[in-house]
Amino acid sequence: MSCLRVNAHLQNISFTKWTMVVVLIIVIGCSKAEAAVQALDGPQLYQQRILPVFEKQCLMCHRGETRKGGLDMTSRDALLKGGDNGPAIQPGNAKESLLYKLVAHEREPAMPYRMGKLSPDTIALFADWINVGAPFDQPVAAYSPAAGNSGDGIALFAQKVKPILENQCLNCHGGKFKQAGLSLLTQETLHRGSDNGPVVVAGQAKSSLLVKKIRHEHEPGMPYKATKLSDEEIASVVAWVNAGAPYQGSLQSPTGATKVISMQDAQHWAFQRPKRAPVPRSGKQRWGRNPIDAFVLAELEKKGLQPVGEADKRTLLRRVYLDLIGLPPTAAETQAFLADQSSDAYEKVVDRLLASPRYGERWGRHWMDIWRYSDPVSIFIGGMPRVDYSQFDIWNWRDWIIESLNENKGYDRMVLEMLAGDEIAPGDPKISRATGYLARSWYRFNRNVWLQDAVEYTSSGLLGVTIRCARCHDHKYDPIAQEEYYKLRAFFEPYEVRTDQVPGKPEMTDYHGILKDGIPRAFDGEPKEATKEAPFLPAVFATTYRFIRGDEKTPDLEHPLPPGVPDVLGGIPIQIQPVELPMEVSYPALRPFVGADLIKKAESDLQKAEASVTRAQEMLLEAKRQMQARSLSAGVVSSNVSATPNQSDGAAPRKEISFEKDIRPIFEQNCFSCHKSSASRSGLVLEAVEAILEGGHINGPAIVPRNSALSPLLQHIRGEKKPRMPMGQPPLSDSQIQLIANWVDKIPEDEPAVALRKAEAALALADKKLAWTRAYLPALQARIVADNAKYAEPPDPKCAALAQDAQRLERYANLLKAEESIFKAQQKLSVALTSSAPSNAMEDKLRDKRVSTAKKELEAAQAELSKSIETYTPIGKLYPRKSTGRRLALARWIASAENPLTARVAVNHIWGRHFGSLLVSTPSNLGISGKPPSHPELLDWLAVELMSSQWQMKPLHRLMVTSSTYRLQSAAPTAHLGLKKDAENRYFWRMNQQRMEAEVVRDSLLHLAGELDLTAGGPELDPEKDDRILRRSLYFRHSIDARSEFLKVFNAANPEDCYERAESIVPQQALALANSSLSYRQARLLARKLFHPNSRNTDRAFIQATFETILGRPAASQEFRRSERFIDRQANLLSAKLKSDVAGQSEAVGDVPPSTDPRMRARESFVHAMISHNDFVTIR
Amino acid sequence: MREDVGVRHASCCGRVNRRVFLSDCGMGFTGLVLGTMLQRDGILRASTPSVEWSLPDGKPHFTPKAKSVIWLFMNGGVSHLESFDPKPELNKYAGYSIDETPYKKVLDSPFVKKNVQEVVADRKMMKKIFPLQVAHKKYGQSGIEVADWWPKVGGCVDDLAIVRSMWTTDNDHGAQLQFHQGRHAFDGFFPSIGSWVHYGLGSLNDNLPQFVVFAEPDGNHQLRSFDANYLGPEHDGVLLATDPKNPLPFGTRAPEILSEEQKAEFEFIREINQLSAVQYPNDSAIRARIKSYELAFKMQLEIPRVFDFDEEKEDVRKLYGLDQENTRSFGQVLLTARRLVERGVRFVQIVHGKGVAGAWDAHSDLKKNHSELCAQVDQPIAGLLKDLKQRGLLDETLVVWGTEFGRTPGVEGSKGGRDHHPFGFSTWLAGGGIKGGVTHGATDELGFHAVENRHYVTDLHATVLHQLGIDPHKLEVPGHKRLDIDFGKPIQEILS
Repeated sequence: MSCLRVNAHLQNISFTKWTMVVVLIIVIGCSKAEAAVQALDGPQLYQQRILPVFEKQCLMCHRGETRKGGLDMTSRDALLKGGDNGPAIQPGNAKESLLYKLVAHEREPAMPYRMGKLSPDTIALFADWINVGAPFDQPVAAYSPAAGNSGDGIALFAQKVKPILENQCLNCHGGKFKQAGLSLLTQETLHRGSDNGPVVVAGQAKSSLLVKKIRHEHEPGMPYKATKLSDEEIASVVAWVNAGAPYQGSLQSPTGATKVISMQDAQHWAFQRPKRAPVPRSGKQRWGRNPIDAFVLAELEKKGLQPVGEADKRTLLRRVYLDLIGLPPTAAETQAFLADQSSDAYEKVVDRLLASPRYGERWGRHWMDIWRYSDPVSIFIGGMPRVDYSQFDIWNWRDWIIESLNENKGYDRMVLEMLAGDEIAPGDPKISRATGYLARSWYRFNRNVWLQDAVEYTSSGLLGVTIRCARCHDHKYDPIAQEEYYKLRAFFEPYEVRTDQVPGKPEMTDYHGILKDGIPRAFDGEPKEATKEAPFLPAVFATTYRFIRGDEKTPDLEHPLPPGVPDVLGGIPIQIQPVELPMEVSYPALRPFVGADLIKKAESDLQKAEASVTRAQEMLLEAKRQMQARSLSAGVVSSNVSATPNQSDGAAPRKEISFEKDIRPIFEQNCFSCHKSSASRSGLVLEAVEAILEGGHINGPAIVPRNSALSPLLQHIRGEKKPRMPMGQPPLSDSQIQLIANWVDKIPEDEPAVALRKAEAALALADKKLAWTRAYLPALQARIVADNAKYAEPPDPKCAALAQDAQRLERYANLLKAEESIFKAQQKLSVALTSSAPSNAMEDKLRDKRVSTAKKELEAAQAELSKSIETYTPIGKLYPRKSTGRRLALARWIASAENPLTARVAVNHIWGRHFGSLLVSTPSNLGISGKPPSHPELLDWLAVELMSSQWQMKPLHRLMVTSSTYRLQSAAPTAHLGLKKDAENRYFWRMNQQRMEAEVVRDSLLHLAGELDLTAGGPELDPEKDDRILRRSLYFRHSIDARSEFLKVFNAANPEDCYERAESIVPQQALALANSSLSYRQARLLARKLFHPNSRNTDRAFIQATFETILGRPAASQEFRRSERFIDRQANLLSAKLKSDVAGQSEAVGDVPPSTDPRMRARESFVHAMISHNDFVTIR
Repeated sequence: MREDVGVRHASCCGRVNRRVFLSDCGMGFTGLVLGTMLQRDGILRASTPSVEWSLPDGKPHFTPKAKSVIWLFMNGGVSHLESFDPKPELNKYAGYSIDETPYKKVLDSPFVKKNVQEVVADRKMMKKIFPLQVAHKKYGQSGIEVADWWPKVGGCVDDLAIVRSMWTTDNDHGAQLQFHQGRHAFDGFFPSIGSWVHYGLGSLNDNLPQFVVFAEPDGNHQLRSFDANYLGPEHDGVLLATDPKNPLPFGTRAPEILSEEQKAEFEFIREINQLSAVQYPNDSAIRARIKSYELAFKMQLEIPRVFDFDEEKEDVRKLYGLDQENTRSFGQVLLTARRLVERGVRFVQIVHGKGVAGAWDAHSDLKKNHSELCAQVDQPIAGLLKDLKQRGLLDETLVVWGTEFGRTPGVEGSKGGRDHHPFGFSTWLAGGGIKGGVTHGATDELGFHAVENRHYVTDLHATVLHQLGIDPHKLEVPGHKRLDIDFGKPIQEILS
């Protein structure tokens, strides 16, 4: 036994052997041995070998209040009690002890946390110690600052170390700011360490991270980005750590314990409220029309620059048209403007353009970039679209943006409606649709990702600060603490997205948990778990926590966070008032149209049911007539003849089409994902002929036997009826469609007797269906009445009785429905059972399957019959009666005149789009790491101007585009000083030349040819049809996965993040203009429009008109000559070639073929080439 | 492009000023084509004052070993166990739960948690061991074992460096995106590896797009793994169709237009644009646009030539399996890939297997699934390697074969499938300065965890960039901070 004593000479023995000895002893000694070991050696083992490790490696985190993971390691009892993950030790069984697993790195998180692994010897000692029962000598003394704090240490602290910590460290590692989670404020927090683990090992300066940091042995060295401490200072800290790193009281921040934002940071220009500076008065020059020009001129004069001359009228007109409405002026509009000699001719144009509904579309697209509009990102699963980002029908928000701009709604009001439209006007869908802004961030698979986007894009898009850095750590540049990021998130924490019904759509379709054909909008929901299987809907959390290092797996559960805004932007108190919601909002089914639409639908179903009874009766009569006719002519016609049709018509006998062999496989591959008995939503099952004939409960029979043209099935797969089937997948091939049509046209006529039996059955079924449909309507009405009574305010006293009525009627209708189902199932079963003897194993199996399916359906229907319901089914879904008011509070704060950033950010964006470059070149980051404004006073003046005109944007546009600065020409005279001194044109001595944005290129093409369809709003359009649907470009689906190829080539917005469009010049753009059917079609139409055969000098006039229309300017003489020559040559070439090469004409892209006249075709070619002119896509 | 080349500003947590960034010189068919050409022609001013950051100049940072990359990606997740990392222990313990084997520790390995960031929460662990569905044997001088479904590729094993220790973190098909962009789907969208190459190196042939993609259309663009994202659309992979009639969007003259007719039009466009250029001497955008039209025209002529297989000899066509129904379509893609790299295309990314999840996603009947799909690709891939080698192109062409993740050692359900397995899987590289006939890294005895020389997917990217002579750290874009893991580390051990 003495060998167990740990002393020097034993240390050479292999510890594995040593362990075995211990185990042996335990086994041999049985229960008594354990006690013996404990009494004799265990405590010594603990005292001499374990405790030192505990002290050095474990106790800094696992004692006192720190108690990471809830674990206290100061006594055996505490270890037995364990922490959040259960007991730390199982005495006698090291391998099963959590403590052992963690130090042996068999489990996460490996211990000691974020430090080197213990040596194998030490780990083996841990095992031994636990195996002998984990005895303690005596508990470690309770943690007290006094213990172990030598007087020397305290003195060092007070005299030397405290000032260093306070002056050098506290700014980042103190009160509000705890970079890396580390606070040095108290001894307790020091020993708690950082998010990355402990920073001091008491008594061991060498192994302490703190010391390594200040010695610059560990990156990044501390103090962060500042001068290294002096050797003497470092020596003091080292001595202090070696003395146990004791504190005396807590640290005091030199600027007060809570105020840790450095004065310098807090005084950053963008964090101060903008003030209207006096409009500068020009010293020398008389130039400019309004205050914008005064500010611009003042800067130019400072730089010794002069503005260039004004653009000519044509250039200016084209510029302002494209800028304000995104469409170029027509030649007639240009002529009218040139002819208008009045002094306010230009201003009149500006007013007209701002009043045009096209303005909202043009500028709506700009704001859609900034607010990162995205149509739903979806994939098809089981033939059904599944939206993973954004929402169905998000276009409602897009339309709100356009309409709001056209109405000249204030920017502040827009912000309010987007963030909290459901809270300020709960019952008004015209306003709540604005919260599509929030619905856009919806993300199916992870609530944290969803909220991350909501926080990030609200701060960068509306506030112009990049708060996302603070998700993982305190912001490196801006004075924003990590905690503040999560406080901002807390405003969004309860929000959810739902789809509200709209009139005329009684049944919204549910696709993987998301409804389509309503209005997606935000609301504050109840906390809920994420669904862990399909359809994978995201969670809503009850509380907001800071995620340590931004990792959602490590929330700081001890500190739930309330909503709050960053201090540095603060000063304005946030007031959160919960919002009581009207009953109609909590229970949207109460809105009268909901019930009315349902009743209308039920009535129409009833009519259909009545019609199908009449039809069934007629069929029955016909069948009886046939039967009679048959019995009259019995024996005259062999029944075989009708069974083998078409043999006598001279054609080669066509192969019999078999449903099982030929048709079913096609359906199986393309249609079964939706139309199988186990998975049919519409009730239509395509597995068997009978089922196809019977059809679905919504739309009836899918085929009309022997009439493919009238068969809905064929109409849908041919795309003659919407939706084209298979939905969301490529269409069937022509040969497949033909095969199905042939099959339908050849479905053999039944024997009269069979037909009669079928007709009888069909009538019986139609009768049953009618009975059910009849009963459904009053039940529905009663449910609506009961709902209304239940939610009336005050509640209707009759509501209990009405509920009973509704229940009774619903139950009755359900019974009839069950009867119909039973009847149907019985019929199916009998058909399945009596079908002819199967000829092979596969068909055998199939028949068995059908029988069992029918049986199951029958059982289900019967079960339905005996089911009683406790209460009627409510019409709709009930949502909470209250909204937290958090988002409204946030919105009010953002849209407040006190907020230093909001107006500046908006003004900067507007300026940039008018002038081609921004005042602050980092529009989503006005913070400390952003760029300073080129014209700070102008920016502020404009911001104040915006706010003082009720945040209306139209006056601001007017101010900008009527300024002299806007009217400058963009070309720089070669000798102009600006080229040298300010080549970048940062100071606006000339206008910036811009390239048309993607939408403008396409819309202008259509507009010039007079083809643009100006229908506004509505569901997003298919981007693959951007050459055939002639609507404005912003109405096409635009998401990360579905974009118009044409628009994408011209740098359409990145739907994930786009504060500025890129402006590239790539060959694809040339190819798109040269080869797209869009440009050919428009060029041909435009050429025909511009060519007037009767005018004199025909081609001269034509060339002139083409230049005027496409470029907005007349042709210069050189251009004339080249153009004429081109048309001549092209015409010669074509007349020579087209005779010999007729093939060239055979096919045409789109539906506008080239002219058959060579000279006209040459003119079309000329217009087509002119579209590729640099000056078409260039805005000078 | 504006005439004034501005000071480019770096801003760390902010966004780069995209307009300045791109308009200065970032344009080019798919990228730097134009930028470098303009630089060459002196249109872009070389002197950029006080540059803190600048666009790559299209030159490698150090001597490259490879010029081009052919990147083969098997969509849906190929079983590493039944391809390049056979594990006999699976046959020994077939039918047992992993708990009952000596290797039960793999289940509590810290890698289990570390490796996975679940999209579909609480995915079940497939514990019941499923025996290997195919035999395997040794090939070549190196004697590396390869499954019998890959006999032809096995025959080339002496040219391959097989990496058996890959891991990733997405246990769902977002891993497809992750494999190409290096980040989990939760993190958003990032530039694809091909886009980085394109952004960093630019063009070897002005007449062709430099980053080309072949992927079977599946109606789901969601997982597009060849987007440049923040690098800008000019660095996106250009999706080519193997249909020679219309291989490139807008890349084909309309059928009713005569070639002379169009040629004359292009010529006229150049003339009138030049007139404008004279009028605006300070407007470099015009000159860039004139150039872009010239390029466009050449490209339109060049692309159909790439697809003209008539030039290829019978034995070459056979090598790619063009004579067999089963291998023809993939063979055509690979032959086109060779013809593209031959003409200087930098990066050809090829996806095999369509469908939302990808064809290789063998949740049931792995034997049928993999044996059939292998039969489609084995011959063409081996053909590609041999063809490159016999033309001396393999030295300068890096061929990478990958897949999104491996498949579980355990059986999934009762229908003979294996589930997704991000903990350990295999890829291989060949040519372009890579050692042949070696394996690198290893999974444990069950093929569960990558345990030896573990490599996250970006290590593969780093290896590719390294062979091309690029230091990814020099490709940083202001405003888009990259993490260490985004850069990865080149797998030095397999470099020759």
